[in-house]
Amino acid sequence: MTNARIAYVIDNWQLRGIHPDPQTGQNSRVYFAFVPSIARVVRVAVSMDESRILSAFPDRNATRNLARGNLAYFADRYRNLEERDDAES
Amino acid sequence: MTLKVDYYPEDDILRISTGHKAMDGATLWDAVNVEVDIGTDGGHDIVGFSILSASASVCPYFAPAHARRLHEPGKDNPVASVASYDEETDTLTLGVSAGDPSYRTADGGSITGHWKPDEADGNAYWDLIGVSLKEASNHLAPHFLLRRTLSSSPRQDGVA
Repeated sequence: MTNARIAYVIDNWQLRGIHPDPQTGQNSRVYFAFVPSIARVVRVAVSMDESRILSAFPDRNATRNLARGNLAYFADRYRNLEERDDAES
Repeated sequence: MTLKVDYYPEDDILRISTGHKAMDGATLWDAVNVEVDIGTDGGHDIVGFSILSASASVCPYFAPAHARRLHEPGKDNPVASVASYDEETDTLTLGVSAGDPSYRTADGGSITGHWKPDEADGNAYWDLIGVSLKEASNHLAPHFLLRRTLSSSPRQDGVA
């Protein structure tokens, strides 16, 4: 995943939430945005202080469920889910 | 197959890769802390995976050699419950292995994917429900130490 795509996702996120990990206390913040050049929703996980990129990859589950408008898929898996109204799609 | 295994204790992330380029990806259906790299667009060939919060996921069976925190398995640890280990076959499974005949197993050598048809999508789409790592103790060493929780039990076959 290129840095440009990661930056695009963080700048143009459509959904974001927190990956809950109550056991470790190491939550991560997760951004989702559709990236037109690869026709996929890319998921980017960053540390909670946003100082480090933990992972970035095209997520076919997120792609399919966002296309369906199935926000329950995300709400079931991510805490404090936010949807951005003005996001590009 | 030689796998590249990296463990990052600062972020508690374990990455396992065949070295093949990933064109697609997915998280496990019931465990979004397991991120799976897929070799072909829309395919089922797994070329690697990453585990966020790795020590909690694999610690019931493999203890990170240099982890700062160790987590015990148990019913109160939902992250740990995603993993299972078959000591006889030395296979670590994250998520669910394909137990239903209608499921699909994609054997990629050291890494096996377990897929379930999505009935809501007319079974046209397969959800990734699990991933198995064969020869797990071999691949995870030296980053992880196999915790042989049964080693203190006396053997029943008379072999010392």
